[in-house]
Amino acid sequence: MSSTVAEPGRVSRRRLLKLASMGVMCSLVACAAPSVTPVPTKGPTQPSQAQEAPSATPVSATPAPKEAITIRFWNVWGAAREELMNQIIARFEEQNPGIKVQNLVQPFERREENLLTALASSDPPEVLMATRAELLKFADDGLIVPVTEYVKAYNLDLGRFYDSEIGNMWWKGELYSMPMPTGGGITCLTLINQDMFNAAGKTPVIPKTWSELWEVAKEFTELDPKGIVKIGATVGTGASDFLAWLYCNNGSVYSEDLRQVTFASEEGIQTLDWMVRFTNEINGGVQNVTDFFAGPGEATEAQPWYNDKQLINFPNVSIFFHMKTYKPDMKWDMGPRPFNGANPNAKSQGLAGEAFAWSYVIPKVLKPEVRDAAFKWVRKITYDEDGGCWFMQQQGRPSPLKACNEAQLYYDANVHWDKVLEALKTDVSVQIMPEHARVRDILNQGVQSAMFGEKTPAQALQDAAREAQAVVDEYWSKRS
Amino acid sequence: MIGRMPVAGRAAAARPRPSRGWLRRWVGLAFVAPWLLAFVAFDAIPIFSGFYHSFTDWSITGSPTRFVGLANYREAFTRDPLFWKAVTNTLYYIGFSVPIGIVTAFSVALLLNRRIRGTTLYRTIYYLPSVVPTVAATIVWTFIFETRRGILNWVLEFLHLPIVRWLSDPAWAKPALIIMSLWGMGSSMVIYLAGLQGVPQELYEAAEIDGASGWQRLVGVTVPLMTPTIFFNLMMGLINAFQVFNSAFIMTGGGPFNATLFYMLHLYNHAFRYFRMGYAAALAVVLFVVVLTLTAIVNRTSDRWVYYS
Amino acid sequence: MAVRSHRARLFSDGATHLVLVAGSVIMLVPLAWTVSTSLKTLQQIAIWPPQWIPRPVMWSNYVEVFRRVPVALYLRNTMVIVSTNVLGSVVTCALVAYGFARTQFPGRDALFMLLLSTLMMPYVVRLIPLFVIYNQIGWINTFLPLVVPALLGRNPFYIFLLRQFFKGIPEELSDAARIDGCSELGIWWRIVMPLSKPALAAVTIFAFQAGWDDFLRPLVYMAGRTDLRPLSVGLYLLRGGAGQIPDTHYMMALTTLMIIPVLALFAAGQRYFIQGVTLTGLKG
Repeated sequence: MSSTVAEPGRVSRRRLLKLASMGVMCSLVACAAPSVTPVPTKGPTQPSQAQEAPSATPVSATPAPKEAITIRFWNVWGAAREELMNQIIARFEEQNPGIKVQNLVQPFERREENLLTALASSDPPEVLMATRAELLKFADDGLIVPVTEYVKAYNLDLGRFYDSEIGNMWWKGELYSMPMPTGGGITCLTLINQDMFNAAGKTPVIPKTWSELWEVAKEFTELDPKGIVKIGATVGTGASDFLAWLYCNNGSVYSEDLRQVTFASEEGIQTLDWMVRFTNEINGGVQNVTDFFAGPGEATEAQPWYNDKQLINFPNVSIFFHMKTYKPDMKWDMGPRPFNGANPNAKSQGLAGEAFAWSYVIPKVLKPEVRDAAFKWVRKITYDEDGGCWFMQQQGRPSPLKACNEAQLYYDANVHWDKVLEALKTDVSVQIMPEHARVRDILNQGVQSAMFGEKTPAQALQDAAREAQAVVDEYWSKRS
Repeated sequence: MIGRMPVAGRAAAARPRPSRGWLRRWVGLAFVAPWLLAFVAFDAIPIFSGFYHSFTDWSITGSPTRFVGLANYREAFTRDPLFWKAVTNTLYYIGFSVPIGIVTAFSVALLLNRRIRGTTLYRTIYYLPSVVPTVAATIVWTFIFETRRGILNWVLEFLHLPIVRWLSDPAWAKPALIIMSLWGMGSSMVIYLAGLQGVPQELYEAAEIDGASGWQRLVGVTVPLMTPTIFFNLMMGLINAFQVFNSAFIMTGGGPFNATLFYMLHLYNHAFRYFRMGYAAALAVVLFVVVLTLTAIVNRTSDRWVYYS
Repeated sequence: MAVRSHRARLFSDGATHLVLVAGSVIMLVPLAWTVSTSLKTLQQIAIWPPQWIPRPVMWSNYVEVFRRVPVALYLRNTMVIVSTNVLGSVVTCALVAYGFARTQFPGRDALFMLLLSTLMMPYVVRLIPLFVIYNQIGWINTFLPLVVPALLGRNPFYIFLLRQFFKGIPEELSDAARIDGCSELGIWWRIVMPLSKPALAAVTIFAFQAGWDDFLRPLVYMAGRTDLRPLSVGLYLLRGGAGQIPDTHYMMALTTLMIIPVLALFAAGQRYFIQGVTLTGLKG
């Protein structure tokens, strides 16, 4: 065998060694790094007088502990909002010497795994951002602490929040967080693009009932072989849309005692039947709707609403902010969400977030004095004017605090602000149970199977209700 | 090469070492030891805990865990309406993506192994997609698949073919994801390329002298010698396709109408959205058993079709 | 005869080029879109039909990315993950693979099946128990959960791949070396490793890229230490969510930046695939 083949082998081994030693160095440095800068630990356990319930003495009055307590704040307020949050942190640290806040902004992707492992840790972050459905589950399983006692101890006035917004945060007589931002404020509302009405030579109208919506949507929707060119309106194709319309038809998800699933009521079937007919007859089917709004995400300039291709919109609450960015000169108006005029008991009604209101939870494993500090931080970003309120104002989004929304800057930025406030007052908090995420997905399956024509609306809802009821029954049978 | 061995000169003096028989018998275990250590430390408990929890109603959120026997398994096979949907979707995906992936990557590797100009550039181009982070790739493909404005439908229109609602039509969403997976076949292509270097050139020459056509050479020489590599890609393709997750999770979220609800998505929903770790564990065990059985069968048949020089 | 075969060769080369160029276009279009988007404003992204060469070209996106993401810090963290991943796979995985491919010991095949089976238990159900283990030994919020298993060769994919290649190396070579008094370790290092350069090059690239793109593990194991984040997490931070406008342009800029090193490594490493190792005359 010639030695020419062997040569590269030798060189590569030398190289490999070099690489290997480099790698070892790197990894050694890496492994050493954590020990050089240890994870910020909480202050030494002080012999606390009140080990049990949170101490009622306002801690700000007590001298700052020798070592600062660090509140690791696990949240998804990224991008521009991270900067705003850091400003709140700076203020908070100034007002509370002895407490440091670390802003742990997390990517939204894989939020669920990230949240659960963080909570499962023996050393969890002191405050974590979670959805309302998650809060309920954690509360029910005793993973987080209620804040009811703190609210009493600090004499906080929960009446400063809208009833529905603070109502989202209770479970079994205990309060587990305060809200920020709002869960509602928009689900009751209908936005219309006046420019499109004007361009068509029509007087802008805000449809008040389902049949009015049908008429105007039909008139303005334009289809071609590839799908939708312009849309009058879509009533949506998923569970959240169904729930919004259900409550405008005097329906409900659960019975008052949360033991019965009630969405397959006559009102429910009416609602889904109307949604399916609307989607098929006006939009040309659910696929048309999906395609029309498909693309690089809901919050981009390419969306039909910013391009005079959508007459009526039932958006989420960040819409005002996005409209200012993408189409500041748009003429638009706003009114209540259409209700079923054929049902004498129905009226326009908004939901203050049945699953997706954001909350801030405190893990149970924390030491009392750390819990106390954690609550102070939760209070800052929800209750305090220079905290949560300010954070919302900077973004032009409504706050769950009534007084906060009276700021002039809102009225300046949004000509229809009074209607948003009206909606916040009338929104209801849908009482949900800890298995809601699952019930909601089952409902979504039902809505989809009707939309895709696999089942009739009645059949779809009845099947879904039966399945959801089994989940609810199982839950209650475990608790009794 | 052997001549380079430092001890080669003493070949004649080589002596048997019967006393080292014990060592000979166990030295292999020493090679495997690091991995074994890692397995015991980091794999054994999580895998066992998966098996154990599949018989419980563990929720990970702290509610008391109870032993429920086979209830989770019964639920999966009899009561969970989405279980079979997820199984069929996954089998569909495997049935198309694995064979098409193997054939495509192998063919491309064959072309790129030819001595023509520009192979370096071609190889880099064909590998390029697999270095794009998944999240960026899915965003790009979302644009490409758009019904009204996507590049793919633009091409179809140009060719006077009917357009396709890639991501909104339940019948087309899976093919769309398979197309996207083919785009990222660079890794298996690289493995084939590496494997092709082990095919001795003179075997081709010999075959050519015998008058074998290109196809005959491929079937008679290349493919048999490549079977270890094909075997590897088949096994890994199966294992990975059974657990297809990322593309559907980011791009379609399981839709439209559950068309891309793959097994892992279903499992994920129960684990992290409904906090039903016990049930998720049972689903995982079912998957584990199926994959293990299938790969064991493939492995067993490998004696008949995989040739190690 | 010679002329005909020359012609045939020209023809088949031409056909090959044709196929490869067509394939290249398919491969490159999404890439072109990525790069083009990285040079647009958010408004330009929304324009239809798309401008492949944006007007104006927003080179400043690349500056902005550095402002939004601490690229240097995250790159350092990524390199920690990448270097150990590469080291572990090229050295430890190769050792383990040798054990499985070229030695005999009781229970070898069962152990190998065990190794493969670790790939078959979905991560979803392993994540929490594994997290609990790391948590108990105090490894959370350090690099250790990423570094130690990698260095121990806990990567069945590479072991399996290398085993396949090692098995293809003629036994006669090892036997000859054994007669010469070479130890198993010596055979691994002097014979098997040099002959497996194509496979090792492939594994290096895979390990590099896997470490480069690893998102979920750094996210979950080091969620409490923003200063230990790798670039991949930075990429997802730009994606938005929760009503935030996605910074698609910055994301694509970072993607473009992240592609370059891996691609450079591939371009550099690929000569090992071509060069290969000729086993001429070994069997003769």
